Amino acid sequence: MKSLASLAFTVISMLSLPAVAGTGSWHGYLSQGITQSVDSEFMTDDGDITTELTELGLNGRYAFDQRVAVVGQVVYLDGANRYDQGLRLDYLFVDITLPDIAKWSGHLHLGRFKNQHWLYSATRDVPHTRASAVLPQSVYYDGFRDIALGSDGALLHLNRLTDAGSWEVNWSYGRSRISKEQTKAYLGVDARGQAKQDFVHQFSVYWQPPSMNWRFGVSLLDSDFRYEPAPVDNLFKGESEIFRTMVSMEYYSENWEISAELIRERQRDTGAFAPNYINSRISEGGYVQLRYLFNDQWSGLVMRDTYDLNRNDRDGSQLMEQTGGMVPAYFGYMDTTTLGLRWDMAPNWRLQAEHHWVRGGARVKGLFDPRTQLSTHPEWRMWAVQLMYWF
Amino acid sequence: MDNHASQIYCCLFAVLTACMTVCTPAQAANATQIIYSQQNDNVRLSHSDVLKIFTGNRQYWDDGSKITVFMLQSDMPLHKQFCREQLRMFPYQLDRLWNQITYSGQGDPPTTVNSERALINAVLTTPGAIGYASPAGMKEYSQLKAEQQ
Repeated sequence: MKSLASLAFTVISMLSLPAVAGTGSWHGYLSQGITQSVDSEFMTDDGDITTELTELGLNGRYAFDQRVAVVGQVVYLDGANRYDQGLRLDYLFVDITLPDIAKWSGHLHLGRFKNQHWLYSATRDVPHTRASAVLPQSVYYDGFRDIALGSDGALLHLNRLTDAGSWEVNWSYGRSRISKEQTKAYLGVDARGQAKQDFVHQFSVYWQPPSMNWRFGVSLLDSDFRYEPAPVDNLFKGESEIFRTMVSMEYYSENWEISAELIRERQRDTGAFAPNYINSRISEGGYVQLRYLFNDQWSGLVMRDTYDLNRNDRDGSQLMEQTGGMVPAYFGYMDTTTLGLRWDMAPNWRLQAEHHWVRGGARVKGLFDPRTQLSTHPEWRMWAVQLMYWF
Repeated sequence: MDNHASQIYCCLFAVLTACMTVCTPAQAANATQIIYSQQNDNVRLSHSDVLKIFTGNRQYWDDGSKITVFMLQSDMPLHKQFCREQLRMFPYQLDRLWNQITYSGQGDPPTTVNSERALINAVLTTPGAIGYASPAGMKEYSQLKAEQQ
């Protein structure tokens, strides 16, 4: 937070320089929806229908010249039970356009930058850029939203257009703040201390052939977390190491498009629950989604998402056994089928509806929360309708 | 319209015609053509340059001035034709790309207009602008301006 304040001060100082004549612009979006989850509290408690599905954002870009710009976005988010409701500084960074080197053009982002590494990560909280209100949880786990969305640090974005297609390379290094609520969501309601991210180091490369109808990508993530217990705490000092590998694919046709991302995540946890606690697992999952464009205004979505918390325990039986029956086996996996419909009713206006049928609870926030265990049935469902406008 | 304004229009049309010839030398007679108002006879745009500009990867001219991109609304036939012919993309692909650029803070989206005539007029009258047009649209616009003079 201190580094962010320093950055903000620097930005304000730069903006106040009288000799600098630049150009500014701003854009925004607002979205309101209704939603419900049945037989799970993923979205709402006790199966209530709620209007707690609000997303507002306002971003600005001030270019001092063709090399340097300052960019920021503030958002207000209410995603029902998925993450903390409230105002956030989504990003605030200095965008430096680098000189072309060997036909590679590039940008360096310094400050709170956006995650550019996954298909939807750069605009994850911008409703009209997503295929659905609730993204496939195997990759875009909402419990990790604030950590995965961006970091305080540096991002290098390079691209090059060749006869063999276009290349995009991203590298970033930084870290994010973890709230008390998120700490409890990961470690249980008994956690009184503070979880912290030491660093997150990411790399991705995308290639698009000259035909422009395919896009392939690979991304890597390496991150370390630690838990610092409170003076009086039921938990102990602990650490987590995460290494994520993802492959991505998109295909564009005139009337339909398909996109898919596959994830493998290796996680090693030590301490926290007991001084000698060690847990190592490899999670696997991914999604495939097909959008069919009936005409310029209407399109339909079919999506299948699957996730296994531990590839060596796909039915969750070991998870139940290791927790003494506290965590039901169906929290070891989560398979979702989604149908959606979109209506682009006017330029910059969209109405979107979706229904998700879910089996399992591996991506329901609060695995170790008894309330989550009781409220999540082996099979559950959720739906959402969103009206959105952007400018 | 006074003589000075007429001269400016004539000059812009001369530049525009040259640009169209340079940018799309081997395309069919009814193919969309790139038009721009850069008042520099030395500007030459390759296919790669066009792709970079219309996909947000290049936002400034060589002289450091800002590129202002004009487009038609996504559901208009000429826009679809332009996307396929010049960018090898579909309009929804281009929309998504610009949304990502705009809302992740990497640039400003193109200005959209709702007719070809408005697009041509906007490109011709905005410094540093770029857009596209059909030969028929250019001819019609040229005749209209000639009548107005």
